[in-house]
Amino acid sequence: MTELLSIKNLRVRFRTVGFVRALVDRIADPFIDAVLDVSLSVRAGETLGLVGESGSGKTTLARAVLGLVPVHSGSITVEGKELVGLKESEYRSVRKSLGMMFQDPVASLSPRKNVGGLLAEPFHIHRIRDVDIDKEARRLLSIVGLHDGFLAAYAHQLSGGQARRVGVARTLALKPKLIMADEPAAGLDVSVQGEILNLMNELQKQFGLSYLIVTHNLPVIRHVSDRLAIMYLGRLVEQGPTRSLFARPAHPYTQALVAAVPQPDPDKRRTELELQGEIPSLRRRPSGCEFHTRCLYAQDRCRVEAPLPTPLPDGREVRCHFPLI
Amino acid sequence: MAEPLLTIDDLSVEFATPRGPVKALRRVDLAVNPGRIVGIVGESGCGKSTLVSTVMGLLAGNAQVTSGSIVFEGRELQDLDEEEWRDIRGRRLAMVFQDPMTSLNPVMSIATQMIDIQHRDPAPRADKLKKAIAWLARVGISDPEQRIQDYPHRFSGGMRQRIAIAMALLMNPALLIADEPTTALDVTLEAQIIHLIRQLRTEFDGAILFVSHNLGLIAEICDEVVVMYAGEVVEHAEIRRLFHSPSHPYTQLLLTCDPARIESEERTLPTIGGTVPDLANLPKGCIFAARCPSAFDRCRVEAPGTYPVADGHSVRCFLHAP
Repeated sequence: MTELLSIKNLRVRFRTVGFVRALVDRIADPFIDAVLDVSLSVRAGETLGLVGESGSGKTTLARAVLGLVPVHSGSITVEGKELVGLKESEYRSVRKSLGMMFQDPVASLSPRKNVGGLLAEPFHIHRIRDVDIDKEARRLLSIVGLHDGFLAAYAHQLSGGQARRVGVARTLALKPKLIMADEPAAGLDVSVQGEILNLMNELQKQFGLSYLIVTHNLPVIRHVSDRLAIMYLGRLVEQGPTRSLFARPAHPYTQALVAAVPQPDPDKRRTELELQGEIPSLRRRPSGCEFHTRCLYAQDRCRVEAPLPTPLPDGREVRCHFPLI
Repeated sequence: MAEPLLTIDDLSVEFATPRGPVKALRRVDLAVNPGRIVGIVGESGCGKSTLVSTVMGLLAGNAQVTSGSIVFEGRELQDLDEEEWRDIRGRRLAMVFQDPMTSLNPVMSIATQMIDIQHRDPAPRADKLKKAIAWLARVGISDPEQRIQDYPHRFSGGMRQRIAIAMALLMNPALLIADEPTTALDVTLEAQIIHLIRQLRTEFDGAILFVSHNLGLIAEICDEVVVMYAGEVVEHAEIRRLFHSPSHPYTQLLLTCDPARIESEERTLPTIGGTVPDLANLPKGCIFAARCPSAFDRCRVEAPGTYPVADGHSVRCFLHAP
């Protein structure tokens, strides 16, 4: 399979205090690294799950691919074309092939436009005039399983599941190859989330789409992704095939995340707590391995020396001195 | 068995809307015994939040209790005036809300807020502060003596929820209502909060009403469960029975849909077809009939009663009618 999206050594930094204040308060480094040294790829027709807790940088990474946040260093290529350093006018044409599904299905749709208007928007933004927009809107609705009657509906008249379907239809308008979906099942009831994920799965088969799914929902991502990348403090700590990550996590953080998911079985109650404490601040990254402050297996070496991404025989890559397999 | 702490009997609540009355709760029965953790599980619109608001006396202005009683520690809650409510709320009946970012007052220090809660207690302020500090320590806030002077924005989401729990338990309430207490938190913090609630349970002798849409959390912490659908209690069972022999078709489907319960890697996830009925325009017969794979003619014309399946296990479904 060919690589559709390839990210190499990506670093995204945000300034936290202004230039003068940094000078006055003698803050040597007024930046935080939201994404640090991330390399990953998404192949054609594949689903990659990007998993991490709040503040791990997963949404920032997706936004960087779309050119919505400035990249400090590294490279992002889509079908071999370098995106870092592109001018805004050039990025516009790139975004046609990159779809984005935002997190909140209702809030991401304008309350002032009806569904027909919402579906026409991508064509107007990209100044595409050679299509019959009304016909396209009907076609898109039928793809996501909604009837034409919805064309006149406004966002507030839609249920969560319907709003999500409209979001999917909008994302598909310009026939993207890669869709980035931020928490596609969040806020939906368990009986409805399956409908959306099944729809995404069918569309993937039908149009050969690739997905980058940003989520913290491990039970869902286990069923819908081919590969997983686990983020902690802006770095990837482990990536590899979903099945092997769940069967035998190699990084202690992956193991802790998997163990933290409550099992819907009263006979499998947990008595031990896998992970203590909270994610450290990005302003004060721990020394050595950045997970050592919460790691059950940390040793002296972990406190001083940062581990590098190391390939494992089963095709995984893990950033740990003492992987669990 | 001891007298239940809270007994809800035949409770119905309606909301007045321009479209007519929305029947948000219908004939709800629920009993919470001392020391028990009772879970309420259901999807959006099932009425779990309305139920909790009714018990706390916090219903919106357009809501009206149309039938039933809520008896807590021997008193009918609907007969209380505002003064009597203030006596009970926070002291006998406490609540932890979903969003720890908004449940604390942002312009008061934690110390002030925790001392304010104890306003009915005649003890000197220094003692109240000491008690508050002790509770912060119990919920795992490090340096409680210093941190209690901080304002809520200085704490992370997980820490704020710990503080909210400490505040709820400060007056040693008989019943703690936890409404989706971990939904806004990451999974590792969620595990920590659940662990904390379980630890505290051994120290505080009250009961907990635990509201959640997450079956995993319900399984993890509850002794018994009530399943709600579209404003009705459809099943009530002891925790093991609910997960191992669910009897209502809705409960069975809900359990099937939970991706965490699917062992093999499945690309196609199960769903429940159809949608929740409009509560302003209720269908005739069983509320779940339109989506139920086992529905038969009787279900579409007549509403089922609640039938016992086993000791402490009842179902609102004709499949179990005697």
